[in-house]
Amino acid sequence: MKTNDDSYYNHPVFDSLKFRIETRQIIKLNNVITQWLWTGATGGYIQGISRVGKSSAFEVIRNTLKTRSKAPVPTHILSIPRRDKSSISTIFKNCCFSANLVVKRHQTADDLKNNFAHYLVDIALSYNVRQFVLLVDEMQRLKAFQFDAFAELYDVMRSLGVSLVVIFIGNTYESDPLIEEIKNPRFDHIRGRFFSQKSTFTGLESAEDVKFCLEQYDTLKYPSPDGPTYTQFFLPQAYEIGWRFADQYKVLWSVFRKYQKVLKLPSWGMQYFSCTANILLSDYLSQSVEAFCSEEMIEKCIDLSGLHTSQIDLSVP
Amino acid sequence: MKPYHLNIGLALQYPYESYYSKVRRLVIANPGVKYSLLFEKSSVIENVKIHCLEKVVSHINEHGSSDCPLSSINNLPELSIRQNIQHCQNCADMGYHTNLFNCDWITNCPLHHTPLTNKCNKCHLPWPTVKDMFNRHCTGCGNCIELETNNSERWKNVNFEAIKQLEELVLGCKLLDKISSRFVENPYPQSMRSVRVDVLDFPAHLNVLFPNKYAAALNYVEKVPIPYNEQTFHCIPTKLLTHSDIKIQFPAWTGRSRVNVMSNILNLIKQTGEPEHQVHVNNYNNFGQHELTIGTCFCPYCLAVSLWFNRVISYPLNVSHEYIDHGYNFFVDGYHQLPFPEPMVNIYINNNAYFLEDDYQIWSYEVQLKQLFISLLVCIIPLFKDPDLANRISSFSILGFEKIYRLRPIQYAYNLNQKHSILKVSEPKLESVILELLENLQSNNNRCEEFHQYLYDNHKRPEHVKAEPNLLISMNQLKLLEFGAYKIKLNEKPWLIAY
Repeated sequence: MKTNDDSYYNHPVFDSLKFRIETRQIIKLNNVITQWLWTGATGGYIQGISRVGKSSAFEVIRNTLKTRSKAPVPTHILSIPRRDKSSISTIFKNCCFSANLVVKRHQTADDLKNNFAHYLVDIALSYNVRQFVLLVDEMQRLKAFQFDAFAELYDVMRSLGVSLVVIFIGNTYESDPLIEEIKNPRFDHIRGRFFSQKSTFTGLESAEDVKFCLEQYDTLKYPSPDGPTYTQFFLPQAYEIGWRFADQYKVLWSVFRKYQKVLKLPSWGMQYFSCTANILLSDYLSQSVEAFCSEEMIEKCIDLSGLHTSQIDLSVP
Repeated sequence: MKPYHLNIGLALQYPYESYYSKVRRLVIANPGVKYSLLFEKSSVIENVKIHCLEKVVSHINEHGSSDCPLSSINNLPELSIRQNIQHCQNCADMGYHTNLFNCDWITNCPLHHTPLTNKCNKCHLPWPTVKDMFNRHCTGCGNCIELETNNSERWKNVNFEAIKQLEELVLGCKLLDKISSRFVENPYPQSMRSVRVDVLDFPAHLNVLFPNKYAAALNYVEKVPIPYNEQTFHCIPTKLLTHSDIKIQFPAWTGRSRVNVMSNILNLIKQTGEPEHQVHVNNYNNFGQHELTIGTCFCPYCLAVSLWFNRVISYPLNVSHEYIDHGYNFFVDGYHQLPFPEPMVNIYINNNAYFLEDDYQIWSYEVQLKQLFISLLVCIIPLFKDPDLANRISSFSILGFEKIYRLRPIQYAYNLNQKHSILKVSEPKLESVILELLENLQSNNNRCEEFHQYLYDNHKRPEHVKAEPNLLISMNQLKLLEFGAYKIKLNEKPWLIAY
């Protein structure tokens, strides 16, 4: 396909909203949440450094959660906005907005709570299951007392015959103070319900993780299901003679390691990785027939991904 | 504007719920949402309204037909204005209501065995209409329920079997509605709410037919044992036939049916009246309100048989003994309001048309013929006992309407599917009803002769109709008449006497 063709730029590689690949960390996260679901946990929290791909990971796994009997478990993602006014009522209002429910000035916090609870119960029952997973993103924006809103929601749904599992997602450093505050005995009822389970979400941590991701460029197809693979789409001739993107994992990882040492990064955040790989595939490798991948190219791509810029402050001693 | 999402309240959904119940859980599941937002027109909320109604309709389509057979009764508009709603407090506490509560003959809740009331025990107000429900903040009847305890736990031990059985029972009667709509414009039963336990059409007959099956359900209502004859017929799916599809609306067998029923009627009259009494078939253009009020005597047997004969024979054989363009119309107008017996060729069941087998057609036609005679008798008996009554009424048939509707056969269908259906029919023993009614009449031959002489003397026929002597017609002649071998013309037969 030619680059002047409009449909060329519809490829998911050019659209961060459409672009989704699975990582080993996502599979691990899926297993963790499934374990919570199957063991009757009422909630838990996931922490991870910013831009590591937590929200995208939940977008990927939200439709894959299943009960022990393999019935799909419905989910709802709620993103907490930062507001001047923090109250329980604003949480319920935000819940209703996220579900496009009627919100009127005269409605009380109880009205909003019940409205949202019935919304979740309706969905769960339409799935023929008695479980519902509420994913609350950006939990660091919550005040400790606002967790009561979710406890109330849990109670209402329980009385309606559906058990709610609330999973909070937050940035590691920003949400740590909140977690500390929750440890205060006055939040026992919150801690017991939602903070007894914990998991950490990381970016790519090894060359094998990189290989796992790159392999998907060689298998995912666009247009699905009969189109060329992502690699084939951009490098048709090289792909024909057996060139595979996954084979470049060592060089990619070795270049990243240099940055990792300098910037003291715990892992390669998915946003930066996918940005690097996409630029490399679509803008650099596609320029030559042989698709030769040099370290300089990769460095350029990593720089363009914003990894270096985002960590500047941390790297300065 | 993107339409709002409205919750259905599936957590409060239970089997066999009514529209009232569906709306209540819609109200409970969308707290703070006003009636106006859902049902009144406005450019801003139109989307919501459509959205909401779509949801309700789609929900009913999805769930209503399978677990809520009464959903075909559109109670929503009615309940929205109805003031006298019956409800069980325990059910109301959980947002549940069933159409069965609207049946007057149900006195206790089949689920909780508690009496049905017309007021909420919590707020002491009458059960709300759909509109009131939105603004009433009562956990017993309004826009919320208590959620302290686990809702599903509360209903865990509730057995809906009784509701199921009663629903089936009412469904059987609803089927009758569809079938009997062929009889009259306002089919029986006009509304289950009007059915009381002390009338013949109370569905307790099913208790007789299926004593084990309905025993549990009928614990909650009083039982009235009624002798019924049961028959089973087969229905074959077909398109709904129109009159033009049916080449002969009154085929030859209808003549045999008329003769059979006529013979039965004459035999029954013989059993109750004087043995030598002859039944005269006549027209009653010259006999009506005035004659009755001045005390002119009449023979009730002959009047009933004549009106019956005219009614059942005039259309099939294209003959009439009524000069309806002049003279009195007291009886003519009256019995035009009575059911007109005709063969039932097919029926609708669950929106499917079914062709009825010949045996059913014969059975139903003969039942209609008998019913017509009963109808006439129940109208004539009061007039016979109190002729002055004629002065106070416009049409004689209003005297017996209630009774007429009670005596329709009750039919119950099962094995309903696209391919085949079986109709179970339960017919009240009409002969015994006729006999019972005839025993109310005491006439004698002298009175009969006097009456017919009066009719003959005062016969005002149109100018083109010549006076004819009385004619005695035997059953054999009647049979010939029925089978078309002997056609009566209007101007030839002002009199017929059958014996």
